[in-house]
Amino acid sequence: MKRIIISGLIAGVASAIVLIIFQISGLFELFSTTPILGVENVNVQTIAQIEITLGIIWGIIWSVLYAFIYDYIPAIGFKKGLVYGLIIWIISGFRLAVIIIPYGGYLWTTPFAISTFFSIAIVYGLLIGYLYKK
Amino acid sequence: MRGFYAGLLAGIFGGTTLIITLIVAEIIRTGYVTIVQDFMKPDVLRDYLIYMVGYMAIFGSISGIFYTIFYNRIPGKGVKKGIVFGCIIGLLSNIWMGFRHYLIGLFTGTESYFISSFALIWGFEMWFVYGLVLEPIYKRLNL
Repeated sequence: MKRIIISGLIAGVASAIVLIIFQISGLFELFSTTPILGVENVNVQTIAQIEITLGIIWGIIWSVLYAFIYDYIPAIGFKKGLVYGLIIWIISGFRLAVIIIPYGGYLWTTPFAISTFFSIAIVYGLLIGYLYKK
Repeated sequence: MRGFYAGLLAGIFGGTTLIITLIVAEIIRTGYVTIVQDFMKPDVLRDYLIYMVGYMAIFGSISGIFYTIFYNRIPGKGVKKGIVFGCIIGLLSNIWMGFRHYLIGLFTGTESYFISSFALIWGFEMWFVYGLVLEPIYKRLNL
């Protein structure tokens, strides 16, 4: 159990750092005029607080689920983590990006989907695949 | 493919249920619902219905594929299995979404709270209904 939590914690914080980089480097604004949080003029500390808190809590929740369904993920080795990251991204990040469209957030959709793809599907998935093995 | 079609039908059912709930809530019109309705930007409910049903049909069928893959690992039997799966999807999508907007509202002092409550209550209810009908449809489909 300890191993699952620590793996989730590390992977969650790493994925949060990717989202922070997307926001403070201006990569997110490359595709959209609306900031990732949907709020203008938010300082770096606030962005970091929000993303790191989310990364810690959800990193652990996702990793517990990963351990639960581990044997049923259709891949071997670290690829298991990548497949799992992709599943989590479709259910969480991509879904949130799409649901915002009827509320007028269509400019926000593409960059949010791209940034969460790198954060959840790639970084989180890769790290959880490497860190957690049965 | 069985999971895909079961998820598609369950998704349409879940999306329609959400809209019916919203219409009933609008009729009842408590103070809370008024806030939610003010947040809903699409002027015509019909457009929102089409969008939500289409949206749930797509994501419902994708989730249906996951249901087939992890079928043996999902705890419970019969309808309970579907409900557990629906709740897991609700947790990963709507609770995540609601919690994210709650934190944004908390740290920035903006109206993200409204999105948060909408995602938590109405969205989760939609996935619960999705899970409720998923297993019976899945069992009946003989593909």
